[in-house]
Amino acid sequence: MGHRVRKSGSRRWIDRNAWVLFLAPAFSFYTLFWIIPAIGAVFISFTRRNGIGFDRIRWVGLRNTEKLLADRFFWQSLENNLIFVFGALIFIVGLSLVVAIILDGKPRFHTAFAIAFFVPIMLSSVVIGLLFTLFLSPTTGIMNGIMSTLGFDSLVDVQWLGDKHTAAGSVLAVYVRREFGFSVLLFAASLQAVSKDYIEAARIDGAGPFAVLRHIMIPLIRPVMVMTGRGPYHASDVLSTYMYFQGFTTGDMGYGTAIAVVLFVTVMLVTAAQIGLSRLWLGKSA
Amino acid sequence: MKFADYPIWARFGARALLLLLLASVLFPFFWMVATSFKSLEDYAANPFGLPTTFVMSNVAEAWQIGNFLRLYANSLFITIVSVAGLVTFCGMAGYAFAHFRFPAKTFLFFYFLAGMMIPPQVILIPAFKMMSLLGLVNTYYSVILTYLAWVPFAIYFFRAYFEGIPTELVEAAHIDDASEISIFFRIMLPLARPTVVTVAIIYFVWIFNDFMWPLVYLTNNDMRTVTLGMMNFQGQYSSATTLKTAALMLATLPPVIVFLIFRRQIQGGWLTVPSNPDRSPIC
Repeated sequence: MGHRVRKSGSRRWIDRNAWVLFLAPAFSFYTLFWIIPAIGAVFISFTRRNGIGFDRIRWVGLRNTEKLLADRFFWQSLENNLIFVFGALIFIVGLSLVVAIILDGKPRFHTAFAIAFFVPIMLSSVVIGLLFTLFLSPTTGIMNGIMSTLGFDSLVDVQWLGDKHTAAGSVLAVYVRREFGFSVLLFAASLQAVSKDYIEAARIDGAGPFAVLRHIMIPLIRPVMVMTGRGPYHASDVLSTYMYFQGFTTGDMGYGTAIAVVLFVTVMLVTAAQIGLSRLWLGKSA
Repeated sequence: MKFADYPIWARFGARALLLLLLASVLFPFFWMVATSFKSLEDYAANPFGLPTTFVMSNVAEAWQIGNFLRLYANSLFITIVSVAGLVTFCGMAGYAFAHFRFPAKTFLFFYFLAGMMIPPQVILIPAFKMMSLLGLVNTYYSVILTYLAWVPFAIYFFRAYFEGIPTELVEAAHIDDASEISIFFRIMLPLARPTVVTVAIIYFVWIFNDFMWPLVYLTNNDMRTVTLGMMNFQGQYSSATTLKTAALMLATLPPVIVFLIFRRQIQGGWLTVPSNPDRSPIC
């Protein structure tokens, strides 16, 4: 850095290497407690042991992976996981894009709406889970009561979470309701950054509001699409329950971690698919 | 695009959509709060509306059963220590990436970002083994050290902010014979106050609400966090909906309060009040 004026030699040396000092704390915690366990995960997935101790580790190579591929509960979990992830992504990205575009026009109370939509993110998933278990309960909850009040007579006797045909939909709805506010925030921030000159120029040339949306605003915020769905975040939800069960409840840590590594690969694929899909959906023009 | 530019049917549809979403977002909270102040009989007779008689006993009982004083103390201690550490360390790293020149800078930056791609579940088992080898399971250190590793997002955020500070300002700070570290703490970090607040709030909510790491590391009853304490109310007392909603309400209070107090200072479009149009967007 050439802008130091009068400093002693040793001080200059310290300041020239200040970057080490500045990076060291973050680097150490991150490497020790995130990266090393991640490398460990790959390693452990090739071993077999029972329980927590290190005494009975056996190197089994790819046998955990083979066992995994033959495990039908694993495939079932993976399938549920993927359906859920893509369902959630489609709803979250679609809904939040529409809402962000509406709020970008600054209708009355737009700030209040944005704050209200963001509040569910403030709540722990544990709290949301318990709250909706109560809310949707057919005996002590009120969802069926709401349905009968609104006149949906076919929906007054539904086991919202207890029936396998409705449970997935219920969970998906609760999930989308919690998550979409965050994506609204990201979309809204990027819409604000779209230059007003482009929009005005297009309007003067006679473009209608929807043409402006389709040909200017949406293409310009395309990069945000990839970020908004938070694919990796969603992708890890269902399968991880099975991993936890195998690793901690049945005590087979090697197998549990093999599931985790597959999970990681799934996350990567989902992210890639998400980027690909959002390109496809929004076209190449930007 | 101004809202008024759209045709009337679109404006009508947009308002209807906003109101529908608002109802679906707010009604469960309203129901949670209202139910917390009802007696069981009142709830059975009147599950939707406001309480007919205002009852405090659910909240008092939930406070007692859940040992909420302890839960709050544990959660707040863990969260505040972690957030303070994260803001300091990630601020330093973000500043280094923005204004220092050093070898392998791009590589190191991507090294830090790579962690965002690794889901926490993947490292759960090896991290648990490591903590038990270090003898830290069932101590506050276990969770705090784990949270201090959540650096990617904060570094990314701080770097973006510090890159926006003109180099002339950084050079001017160097004209006094101050060391880099005192320049950072006396000038740069105070300058970055809006970013500090934003990062701190986001991490406060993440850490306060985290369930997984306390679940595996803190099995001692006295160390449980608020999210773990919720498990007390699951299953047990199976018909006492009013008691459960009271516990949930107590668990949601701290993050919601923090959010509402500081929301004006959060950077990023819509969460700021319209009178501050020049705030930079979140990404």
